[in-house]
Amino acid sequence: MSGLFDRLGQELQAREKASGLSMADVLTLPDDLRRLFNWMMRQEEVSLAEVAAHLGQDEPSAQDTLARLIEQCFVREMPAGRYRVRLAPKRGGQLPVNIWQALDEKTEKEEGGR
Amino acid sequence: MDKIVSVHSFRGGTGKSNVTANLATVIAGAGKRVGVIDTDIQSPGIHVLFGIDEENMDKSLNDYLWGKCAIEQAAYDVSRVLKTAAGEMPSGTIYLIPASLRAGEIARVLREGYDVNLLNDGFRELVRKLQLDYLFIDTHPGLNEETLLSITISDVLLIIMRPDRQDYQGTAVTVEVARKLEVPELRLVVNKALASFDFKALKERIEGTYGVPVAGILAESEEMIALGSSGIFCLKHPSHPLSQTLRSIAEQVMAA
Ligand SMILES: Nc1ncnc2c1ncn2[C@@H]1O[C@H](COP(=O)(O)OP(=O)(O)OP(=O)(O)O)[C@@H](O)[C@H]1O
Ligand SMILES: [Mg+2]
Repeated sequence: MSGLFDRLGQELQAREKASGLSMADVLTLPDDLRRLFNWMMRQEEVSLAEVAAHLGQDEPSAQDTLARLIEQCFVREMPAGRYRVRLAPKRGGQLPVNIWQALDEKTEKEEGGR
Repeated sequence: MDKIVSVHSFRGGTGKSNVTANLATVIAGAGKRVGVIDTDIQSPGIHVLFGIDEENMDKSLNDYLWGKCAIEQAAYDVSRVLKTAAGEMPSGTIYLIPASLRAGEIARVLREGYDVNLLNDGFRELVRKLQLDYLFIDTHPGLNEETLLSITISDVLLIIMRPDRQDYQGTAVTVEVARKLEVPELRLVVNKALASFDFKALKERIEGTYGVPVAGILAESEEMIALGSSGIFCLKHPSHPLSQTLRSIAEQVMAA
């Protein structure tokens, strides 16, 4: 499975340090990584043994893979040795300033009327 | 075993919210516990079909995403819609988790964004806390983070399309994305087909184009237009051909 490892290394080099995984990113990942994330998302939480089985790696190699994914903020470690995909927060703020102003005024009115 | 079902379309106005509400109602009518969540945060709509409006909406998905409440506190038991014309209540339950209708609250989500992990956890918590058999996710049209998330965690994805060239192309994109995200069960639903179309030929052609089964073709219906999302079609017009097709799609969702 050094193929996965090398590609992952290249992927990580090519990307800025992420604040988490975006699902749009998943679409652009190499197949084996994409499958890993799809599977982890559907499982909700996975153990090291399950990751190793899914990747066809031994546990120390799977542990290395997970460590890199954690370092990249794509995965978070949960209590009791479980792992989860860590999703990037949804960024806001894609509207022109004058629309925000209009909405602010509306919000103040709404909150005043609550 | 519980199932998460996402209803999506690449373009807007295809009938996602109406199809979702009807399928959820049919399945709840079969005695199941069903949740319906509106992830169309920027343009919510499905609450209307269940008779919820700004006045009687207290907590919403937005409050949950801002950490103001637990997700089940934003769930409304709307099972009363299931009551038949004869006044009978089926044993099923239906919950709606609406998105906020307040302009300020919609704006806040758009401006500040939110923690997508919370949305993901919220889906699962709903299933667990409300002991749901089915969770339906009504989505915003097109591909955005919420949509991709809901597609990824779905057991069944229904893609709604109209027989329209723009929908054909958009559906091709969505099917490709769903394949990349490895959705276990993918089905197409054609809506607003002219009654004069040859439905059998249309089904074969679409299945041939996408390599995806068509779960049903719904004709454009005057009764549906007249209803104008003010209620659940299957309950208002139980013997209408559209209701029969909707029930057949619901059966396929349950069997998938
Ligand atoms: N089979 C049908 N025949 C006639 N009108 C229909 C049919 N299905 C849906 N409609 C109408 O189309 C409109 C859009 O339906 P709906 O809101 O369910 O679509 P949507 O995909 O959820 O839209 P949006 O993308 O805005 O969320 C509504 O006015 C609805 O009454
Ligand atoms: Mg809708």
